[in-house]
Amino acid sequence: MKSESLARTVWHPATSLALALCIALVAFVPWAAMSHGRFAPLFLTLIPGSLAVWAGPPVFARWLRGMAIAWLPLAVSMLLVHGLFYPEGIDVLWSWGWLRVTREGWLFGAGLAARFALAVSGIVLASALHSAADLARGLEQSGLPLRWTYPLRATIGLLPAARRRATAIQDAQAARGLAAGSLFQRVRALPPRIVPFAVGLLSEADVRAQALALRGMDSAVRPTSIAPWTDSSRQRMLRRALIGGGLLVLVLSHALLAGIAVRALSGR
Amino acid sequence: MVGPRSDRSTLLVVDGLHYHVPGRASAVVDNVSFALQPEQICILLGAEGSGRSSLLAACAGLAPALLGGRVDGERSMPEPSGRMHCDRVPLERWTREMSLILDDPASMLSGARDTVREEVAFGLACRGTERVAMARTVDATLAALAIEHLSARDPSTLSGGEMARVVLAATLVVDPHVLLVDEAEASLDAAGRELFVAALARRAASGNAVLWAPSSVEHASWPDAGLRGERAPRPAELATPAQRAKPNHPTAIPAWADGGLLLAGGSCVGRASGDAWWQGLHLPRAGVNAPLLARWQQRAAADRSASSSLGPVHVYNAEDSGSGMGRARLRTDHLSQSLVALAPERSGGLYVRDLRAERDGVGAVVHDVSFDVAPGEVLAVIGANGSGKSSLLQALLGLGPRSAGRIRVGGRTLDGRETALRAREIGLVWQRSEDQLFARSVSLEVGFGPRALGGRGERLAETVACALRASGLERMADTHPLDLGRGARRRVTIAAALAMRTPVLALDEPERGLDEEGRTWLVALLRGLADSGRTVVVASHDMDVLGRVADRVLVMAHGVGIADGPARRILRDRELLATHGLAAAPAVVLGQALASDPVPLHGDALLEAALG
Repeated sequence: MKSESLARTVWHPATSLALALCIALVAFVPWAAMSHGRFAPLFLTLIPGSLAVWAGPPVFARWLRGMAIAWLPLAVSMLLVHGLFYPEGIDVLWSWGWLRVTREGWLFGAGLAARFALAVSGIVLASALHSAADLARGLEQSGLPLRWTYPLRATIGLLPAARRRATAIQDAQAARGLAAGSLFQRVRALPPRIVPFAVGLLSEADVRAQALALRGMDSAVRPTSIAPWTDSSRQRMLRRALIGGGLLVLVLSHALLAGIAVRALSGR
Repeated sequence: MVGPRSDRSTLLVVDGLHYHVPGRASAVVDNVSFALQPEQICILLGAEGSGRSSLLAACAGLAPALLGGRVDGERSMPEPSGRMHCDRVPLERWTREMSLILDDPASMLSGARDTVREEVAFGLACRGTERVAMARTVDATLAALAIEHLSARDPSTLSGGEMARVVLAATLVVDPHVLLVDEAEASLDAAGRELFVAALARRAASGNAVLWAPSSVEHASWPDAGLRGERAPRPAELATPAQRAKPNHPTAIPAWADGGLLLAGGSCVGRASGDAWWQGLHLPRAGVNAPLLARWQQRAAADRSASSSLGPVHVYNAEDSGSGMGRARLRTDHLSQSLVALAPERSGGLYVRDLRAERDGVGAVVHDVSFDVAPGEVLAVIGANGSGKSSLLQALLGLGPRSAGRIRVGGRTLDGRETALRAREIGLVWQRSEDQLFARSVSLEVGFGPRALGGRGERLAETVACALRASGLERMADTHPLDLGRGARRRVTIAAALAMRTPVLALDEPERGLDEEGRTWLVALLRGLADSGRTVVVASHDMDVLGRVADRVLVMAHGVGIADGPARRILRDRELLATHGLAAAPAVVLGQALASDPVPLHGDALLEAALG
């Protein structure tokens, strides 16, 4: 599969994450201050979208699904909240009682939604290209300390185990006659199910902390890997360029805006 | 030497160690001193609550660094410039030389690795080991423990026994100079235990030291002699030259260990060195039995009225356990009365046909198993790790993503009924106590099942009281279950199943976590249940317990019931057992070596035979 081979052999997960970071940085450029720039982020979202198309239909489908989940609800709420309650709105488009939709509020909400679309599009692309475990592994192998990457990897790794534990507890209590058919029964069944699960998680976290200390996780040396990702100097350079470029664009845009503002104030 | 004397080469010196934990008036480890030399395996013995786990945690540096409390006394290891003291170096430095394997293998996994191979490599990766060297070490360790086939598996999907082997491999790869082991072999089948002991022997033979707290004294003193597999070297072949010189004859106990420490109430109440280290320990006073072979030798020597080269060997007796060590006796004298009071309203045998079960991500784990168990009969289910024993018991209650088959209790069909309704007919003691304990007191926990089945009022209170009495938990009725030790928690889960007063009782490894006294109680309980007309199904690795209680045995392998017959035949069939990674009970091995007729199925029968 094209996307799989891309993710597994060509494209290092850290490169995907660097691209996601670069795109997120660009989303913080003061687009609204530029003439007709308010909706520019939405057009820039087409870049990660095109990359997803290029990676293959399954990746593009995952990207679309990810955007629908991560972006759509927030975009709708931004439009509603700012469209209806924007305090500095003057040009009223529609009103009903104390509710009023203003042109300024609508544009502000739409601009925020566009920036948010760009901000999440990169990380959604990364998660469409790689599994969460691979992303965490890529981060770890790109040189980040284990102490930073472990929480992410452990959360991903322990989720299936936690799900199995929850099922085992549910089964153990059902074997003691705990019925969970009606809503009332389900509510009554919560404490016998939740308490062993929560206590188990806490106690396991405690023991796991001991186990990790015993296994040398606190070691100061840079961790190695028995199954490293294929990486290349080109990709390493690309990662640096993406992060550096993103930062540069962000800093320059804000500096430019500040300069314009200062000039305008001094001219006045 | 196990004594506190030391020199520069001594790998671990523990001197005057005290460990106080918050909320406890007395020290959980009280003035313990010992030293471990290179090539030494020391066995750490003691009953439940003796302080073995606390001592190991303190030696590993976990206390007070991670566990809190206060630790006084010396803990030191050699380093090029002299000796390294645990309380003067970071934990990370101390654990470079010292490893501890905890009793719950699932908690030892990092949870952050996708395959077993990566999991085993975790410790080396954390220490920055170069990839090629890491791969070589990891692959060699996987091969030595016969788990290469697990290499690509997701660690979280392994069975308990498989996890225990993976954790052992993950610990051994970092080459610790001192290896501490806390009942890590408890969930292993015979084949796994043999590899486990071989790995410990190999570790010691390469100049390191091992301090091992076994879950049973027999694990540390008896070879799993039923096995003759080619895939792993025999422990005897890996032993030190002095150990190899010992004849493989029933008059000599295979000596894995060079010494023993006996703990009770947090204090060291006995220490001994040499191959016959158990002779120097007064084990019964601490609620621990001497190895079966030692007890048999003493009985045989006494019977012959001949002088024996053996020293005194004390035999555990329940009467001893209450004396001097602050332990509450676990009584079995009122058991039969309590069990009569807990008798089900209707009895019935168990009829199972074509039972199938599947597990997510694994597929079919039980394939068309059929068996019958009559009222008053005990069926033992045995099999290697991952053979489908637990899945079989759970499928009886319709648990798991998919299970099918015809099940009847006393002629009443359970087919198509949901688990909560099946629970009126079949009580199940879950393998992990932690999966069911939630109530704020032992009595509420025990009463949960009968209450869920509709029990109320005085009748319910009486049932709970009887179950608590039968399990020796009366004095702990108001204690929070999670404040109890492993063995007491186990008894709470068994009491909870007893209180449901079901005609059929299924128990999944009920001996896990129980000490010597607890096992004696368990045997009395299972026999008592059968004698009172209950139908009992018990899955276990403990052949000695099964030899005492089982009427019939079902042997499972890869989810299939491959043999079903009388216990007296199956438990003596060492070839059949060995073929499926199982070992006969020590009494059977010894009885066959002595040409006893009939071959005893358990230790007590062997000792009685020795007395003629």
